[in-house]
Amino acid sequence: MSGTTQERDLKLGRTPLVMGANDFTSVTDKVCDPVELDVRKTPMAWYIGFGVSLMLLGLLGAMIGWLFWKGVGVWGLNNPVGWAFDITNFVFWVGIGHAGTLISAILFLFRQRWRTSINRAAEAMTIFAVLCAATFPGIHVGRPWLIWWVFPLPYSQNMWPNFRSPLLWDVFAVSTYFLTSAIFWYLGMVPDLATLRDRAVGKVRQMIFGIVALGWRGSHRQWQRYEVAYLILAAIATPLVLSVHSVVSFDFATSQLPGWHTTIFPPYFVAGAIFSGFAMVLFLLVPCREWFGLKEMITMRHLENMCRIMLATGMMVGYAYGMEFFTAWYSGNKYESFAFINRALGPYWWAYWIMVSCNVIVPQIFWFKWARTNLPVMMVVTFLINVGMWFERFVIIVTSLARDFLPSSWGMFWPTHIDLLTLLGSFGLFFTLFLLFLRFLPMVAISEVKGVMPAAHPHGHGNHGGKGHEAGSFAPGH
Amino acid sequence: MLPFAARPTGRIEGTAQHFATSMELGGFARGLLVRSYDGRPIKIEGNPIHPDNRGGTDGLSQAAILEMYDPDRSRTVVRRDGRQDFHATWLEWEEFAASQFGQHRTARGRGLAFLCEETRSATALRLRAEIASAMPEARWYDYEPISRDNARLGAELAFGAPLRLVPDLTQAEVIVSFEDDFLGSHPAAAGLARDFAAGRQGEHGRMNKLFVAEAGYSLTGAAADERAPVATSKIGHLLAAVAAAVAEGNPVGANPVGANLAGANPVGANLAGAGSIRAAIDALAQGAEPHGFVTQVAEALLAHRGRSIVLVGMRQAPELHAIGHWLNQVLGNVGSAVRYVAEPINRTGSHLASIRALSDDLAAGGIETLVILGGNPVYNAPADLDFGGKLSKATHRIHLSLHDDETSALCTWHLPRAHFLEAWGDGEALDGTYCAQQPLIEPLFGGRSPIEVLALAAGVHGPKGYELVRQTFAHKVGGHASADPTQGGHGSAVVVDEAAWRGFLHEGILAHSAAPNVQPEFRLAELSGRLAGYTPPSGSGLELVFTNDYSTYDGRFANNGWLQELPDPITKLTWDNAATFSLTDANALGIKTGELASIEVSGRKLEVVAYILPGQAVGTVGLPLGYGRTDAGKVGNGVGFDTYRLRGTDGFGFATGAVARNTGRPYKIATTQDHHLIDRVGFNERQRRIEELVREGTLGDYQSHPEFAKHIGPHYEPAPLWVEHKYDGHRWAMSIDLSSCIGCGACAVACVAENNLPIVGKDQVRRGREMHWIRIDRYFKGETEAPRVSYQPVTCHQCENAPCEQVCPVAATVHSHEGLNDQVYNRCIGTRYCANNCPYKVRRFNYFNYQRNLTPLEKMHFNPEVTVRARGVMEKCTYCVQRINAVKIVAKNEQRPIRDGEITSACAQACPTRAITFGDLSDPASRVKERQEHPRAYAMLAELHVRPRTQYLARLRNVEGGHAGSHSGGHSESGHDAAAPAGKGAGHEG
Repeated sequence: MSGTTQERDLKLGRTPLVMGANDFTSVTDKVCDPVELDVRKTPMAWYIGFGVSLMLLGLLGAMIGWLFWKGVGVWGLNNPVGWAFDITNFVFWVGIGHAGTLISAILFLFRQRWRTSINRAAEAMTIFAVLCAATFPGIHVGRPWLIWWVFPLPYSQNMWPNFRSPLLWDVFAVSTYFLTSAIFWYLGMVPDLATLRDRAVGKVRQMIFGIVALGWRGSHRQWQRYEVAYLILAAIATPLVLSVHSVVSFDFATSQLPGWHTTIFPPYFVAGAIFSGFAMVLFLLVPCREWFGLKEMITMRHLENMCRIMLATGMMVGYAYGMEFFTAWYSGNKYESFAFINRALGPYWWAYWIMVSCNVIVPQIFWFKWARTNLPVMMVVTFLINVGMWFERFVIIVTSLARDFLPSSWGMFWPTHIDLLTLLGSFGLFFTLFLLFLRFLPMVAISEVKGVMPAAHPHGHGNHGGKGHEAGSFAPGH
Repeated sequence: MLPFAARPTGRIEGTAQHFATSMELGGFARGLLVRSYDGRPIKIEGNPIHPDNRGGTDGLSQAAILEMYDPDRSRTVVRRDGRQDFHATWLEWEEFAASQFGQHRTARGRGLAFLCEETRSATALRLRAEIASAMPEARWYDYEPISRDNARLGAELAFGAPLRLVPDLTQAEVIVSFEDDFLGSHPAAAGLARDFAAGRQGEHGRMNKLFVAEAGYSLTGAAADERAPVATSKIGHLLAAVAAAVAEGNPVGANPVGANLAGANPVGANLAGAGSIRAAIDALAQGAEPHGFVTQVAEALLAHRGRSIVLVGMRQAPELHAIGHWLNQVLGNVGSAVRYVAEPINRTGSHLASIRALSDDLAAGGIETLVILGGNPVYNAPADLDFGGKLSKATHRIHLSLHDDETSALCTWHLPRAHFLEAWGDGEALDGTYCAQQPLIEPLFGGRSPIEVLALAAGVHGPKGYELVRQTFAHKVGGHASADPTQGGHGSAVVVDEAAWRGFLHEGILAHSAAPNVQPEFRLAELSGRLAGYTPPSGSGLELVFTNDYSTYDGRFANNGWLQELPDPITKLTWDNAATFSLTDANALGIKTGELASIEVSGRKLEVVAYILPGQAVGTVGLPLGYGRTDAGKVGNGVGFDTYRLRGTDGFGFATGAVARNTGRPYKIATTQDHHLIDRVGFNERQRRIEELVREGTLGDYQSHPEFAKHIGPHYEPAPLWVEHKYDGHRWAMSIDLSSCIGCGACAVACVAENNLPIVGKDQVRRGREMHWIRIDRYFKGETEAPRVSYQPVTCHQCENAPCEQVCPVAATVHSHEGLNDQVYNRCIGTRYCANNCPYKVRRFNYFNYQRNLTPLEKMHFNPEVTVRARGVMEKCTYCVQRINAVKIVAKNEQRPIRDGEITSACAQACPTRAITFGDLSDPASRVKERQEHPRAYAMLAELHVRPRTQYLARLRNVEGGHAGSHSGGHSESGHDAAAPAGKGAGHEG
């Protein structure tokens, strides 16, 4: 680890992480300008996007309202298939929520500096995705007004929740993950919020950002504390990236249902989560960098790196798909074997093959550099990966439940309109939050990006703190 | 219904009281014991001392509770003048009746006619006799759409007297049924099933053997060891062929039985010597198929002379019943497995002839007043009679019925009938035992019983059902009572031996009142003549076979949600009837399950949904009656297809020469099994698994290797990873004997009644959300056209290592100290994880608030001992924990241990065959422990180490060879597998 990012990049023949004739001021301006636009000058495109998202959010609200009014029966669930879209959506959204913290925490610990321009957006995405995810366990229960019983609270029933239940582990895992991610995101944003405060025009804006910037002055002492805190949070968040989806996978792995009861699930789920998370980040960032003029910060190199990660995790997922079959066969357990044969050839074969095509075959295109650097290809591939990963959860959950031990009780799940519209509505929640984020908060970590610019290393020597004091010394406004 | 102002002595609020009563259906009284809380009857059991029930019941009687609380029952007398309906009072009716019947009385009954349901109520018969003597010109008609008249006529033909065959299956080692569904549709099915099952335990190598030839699959066919799918019209040939073969192998004097016969009664000698009858039988036996079946049956019968029985079904002609009687006689079964009692009904001709006569008489205009007591002839009379059209020829048409139904709509007076649980009455069991019918509650809607209406017609005012029955009872017990002569035998001052009367009501039957055995005198000459003149019906095209439905019977129970939601034992269809086709016919005609087939016979046409049924005889179409009602009530209207529209006088039991074609239009059916199209992958896997899940063996297997069942499937050696929980107290457990289970579904209805299960409706069943806590899985094994049916009732297995318990995040399902897997409804938030993790899939989720919109009247049927579950909670079989606790409390108060058998779950109590045993494994002498340690015992899915408390006893089949299981396994591997009911071209739902 010697030399600056630029030096290494030069040595390795990589493109720099920030391109174009940018200095610290221009970086600040480019990130902050769209956020500081006068409300009346907000581009029409944002309004359209926000309007659509808001409508979808309204749809979600209406669907949940109907669900609460009538009962879980408005969905297509039945007796063998007690979970379908609800938990599929939950796992799907939790999976999406994996890229953010992975990028923020794990890549931070591994000193992958290319993360700086994308981590903010990715973290935001994480938090919103986890919010979407958390909605589903909350609404899928038969008596949602009693969902708070899953928390270990002292109350009149004098009962603890059942600590043996993986669903309870889920509650802890997801809520911990959400809190940690939110704190991590907010902490990382404090210097940028201070920048916005300092640039703010108008009393209200000044007051709001004044409060949320928590009195950040950019002093060396603050930077030092900040760096340590950030590092510690990164260290805390890192195991969570692995644990959350492992715990989510325990919902299935610890049951005794053929097709669920497999030890391969935790790593398989984590790989899948990262896979889908990156796909979603890329899917969102490609248009954003276009619209917000951030191509010089979110460069093709960033995108290409993410494509590589997807290629790698996609193959891990593919390996898991294959290994599941091997294990099922090798176990000699006929229920297990049938669960997998049934997946591939049974009544839900189409779902299985959508999953395999989208998750295993499609990402193979990223072996080619032209594909990794071609934006339309990326858009299509990431979209398909998200489709595939949704179907992966659907396949695991529904096909296993639909045909378990006793053939007399086999059934089929078909979604109702409410199922489909609730899924659609959850995207409304996600995009509403994400568009609000894009409009009102800096989508790129200004201070961190500055740390990977040549200007941050005027003396030509390394600094393991990375971005810290340089950003501080070039405080906004200079 | 009102609370008492002062508590009567000995009465404790909220405790159960039991009353014996009976329910007459098709002319026979089923003996019941009704549990009542605070004046509300809420649960029906079989009367343990009733000769036909002996503690068991069927689904129809179980569901009578719901029928009584049916809010759609008519509530007032209605007078109709063709344009308008007037709500009338009973007083108005009585005034009308007094004048109208008075006029008829002066005219010696001219112009007056009665149409009755089949009844053996002594009171009703007595009143009929009184009316007949007062009004000799009054005409009497009787009609039952599901009629066993052919059996009576067959006996008349054979013996010259209307004798009734009373089977004693405990004496039968070989039972041959020629389409007689004695396990499912017989009036005494509960008792017959019990005796049948008792003979199938295989202990000491003894086991009865059941041969069945039938067109459609019935419960009896499903229980058969050997079943031949034969068209109903061809069954006569088969019967004759068997008779011929038996006669061939049974020459006079050559065997001791024959010698006995000849010596014991002169009939036997006659029999053997009668060449003419042999000739007639031989002629009829031409073309009987399948040959192997004939040989097999004849050999078995000959090998079990005196210990066998031949039963002939109700769709078969009287001549064939006579052959059946002849066979039983020749085989020496009379006196052992077969006995005869005198039939109190002295009517000549059949129900069919009677309704036809009424129809003609109506058309001729000779009937001014027609009194229809029960029944629904406008709906269920043969279609070609146009009964509804002719009915208006009578000026006064009076209909007594529970509902203001199709017939009432065309009558000038509708009288609300009191339900049997509300009214006094009496009846007769199959063996002639006199049965009491006593009310448990005042008529909810002020209805009257048929005997009260008859009494009015007899010109007797005043006496209510109570006095009428007491009078009959006084006549019955003879010397003990005398009527006040000044009252003309009708006054209330009947002197009855109170102790005898109370004993009668307490027991529900009059002890020792069974009809004496009659030694039948065969009239060979006449029989031979009739047989020689008998030509079996034949015709090209398809044969339509009309069957009573296991849920609606003849349609009278169509408004009963419990029965509508009870899956058909064979098709597993709810809320519908379907035309069942064989796979061969379906393929030839392009018929598909779940699509409407258009069926035409004798110019009558009907579209009805098709269902491809493995085991349906090729060339036949099964048509269950009793659906497509238009005035049944909210529940039953428009459910299913009115197959009576196809049933004419020319084809009452079955009709030949029908044509069917597929309309191609889909129709949504709701089955509880095979909910959806099954693909090849699933189908093959299912056939592979059945062998292991529903373990079966032959009698030979059992004899050579009693523990054969334990060696089907994976061998499982428990290797506990931790010290397993010890149960020191009670260990409740259940054992289900698959050898005994006939799949009738009485347990399922009993469970619904006991545990307040909701009716969810067709749409919810289609979505797979039926709520039954006990289901009876039905699997087809073996070849397509002649598969065997295997039944497996599945309740909650109350696993000791329950997979449901550990996954509940809020600990709403927990283990009791006695090993019960308790569901805490209050705590349940409804994640459904428990159901996902249940390998037996017995948990049921309240997807909606199913019991929300019940009227106060409907809520009255709820068992107060059991919580009514609301939306969003999981529920499942509790082993009837409320019954366990009730007995525990009593035992504790009496400071004694609980006796074995004192606690029974509702399913076990209802089970006619005692297939289900409930008890305490900690009691070393308990029956359940004995059965769980039985060599045939096995636990389903034991390899999951869930340690289920419910275990099964493997089914034994009395067939040749080893391993009934692996035998058919081989079949399915080699591709001869049974087509799934949803088989080829099943309607793809969803």
